[in-house]
Amino acid sequence: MKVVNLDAIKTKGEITTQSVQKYLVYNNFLNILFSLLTAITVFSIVVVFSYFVVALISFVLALFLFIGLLIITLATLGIVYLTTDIGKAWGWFDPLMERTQAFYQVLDKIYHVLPYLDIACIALCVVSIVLFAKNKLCISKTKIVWLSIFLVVLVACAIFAFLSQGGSK
Amino acid sequence: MNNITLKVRGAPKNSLIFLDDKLIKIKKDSFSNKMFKGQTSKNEISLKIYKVQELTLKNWWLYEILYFILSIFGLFDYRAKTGFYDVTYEANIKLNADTQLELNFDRKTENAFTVKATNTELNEKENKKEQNLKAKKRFKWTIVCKVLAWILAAVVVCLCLFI
Repeated sequence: MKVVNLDAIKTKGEITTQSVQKYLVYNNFLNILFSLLTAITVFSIVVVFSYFVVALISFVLALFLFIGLLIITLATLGIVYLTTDIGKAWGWFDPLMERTQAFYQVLDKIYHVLPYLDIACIALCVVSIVLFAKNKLCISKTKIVWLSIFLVVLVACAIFAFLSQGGSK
Repeated sequence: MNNITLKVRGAPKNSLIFLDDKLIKIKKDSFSNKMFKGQTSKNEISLKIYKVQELTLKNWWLYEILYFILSIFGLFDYRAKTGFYDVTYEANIKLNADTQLELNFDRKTENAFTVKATNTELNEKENKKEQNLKAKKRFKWTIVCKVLAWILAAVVVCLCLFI
């Protein structure tokens, strides 16, 4: 620990109620700002990370789609090429098209789940922040409980709004 | 030069510690004890510890509102919510080459601090703590206002979501 030279510290006049209040206000504002800044930084990191995960999943799905389509196209071309001489190619091709459409439907369903994944990621972010706040910023358990209830209600409302919007379409 | 090592355990949050009438910036160790190491050419210095209730100071309501808004509806408000004590501790310390002083905040008696360990002569002038009922009462009112603000915020959020 650093040793402070007391003689070098300048006295700021007498200790009065006003000087005490000045110090307390300054100290409180500084501490709250520091807590806020830390939370914002952590939130940003977690949000960016979560969206990175979502983007990665989307990318993998897109890659999956691309590879799938590539295989199907190549297979179709191969089949068409192989069966052109016989003249029965289109008869073979139709069931393949049906399968392709089914594949598309599966992918469509997966893409419909992605917004829920977003909501889950955001909820995860908030939970991480709450845990961080509890450990590092000394937030009481009561506040955590209230915040959790508030978040659950908020997420439920968001899901409800999302579903009702989808239903109206 | 005389060295002094001061350790204060369990002191209320936002306690102000003055050594030789100078406000010292004290750091916490890994056990949340407030630690200070200093040196001075003097042979005797004064030690003053004060804890003032912010809710009894001038324009307290204005600062409460500002803290509430700034800390996002009180979420990042780290200030203590219990034990509304006004603490006053004043003592003179005779210094030696390596003065050690360890104070414990006393919750059970009327005294504010008890000396846990020291290797020097300590002349206590004042050592008292008393509960500030005015601050306690005002704190209850701030809680009511904060709950109302939370309800209002929830209503606004719901309205924004559904309308």
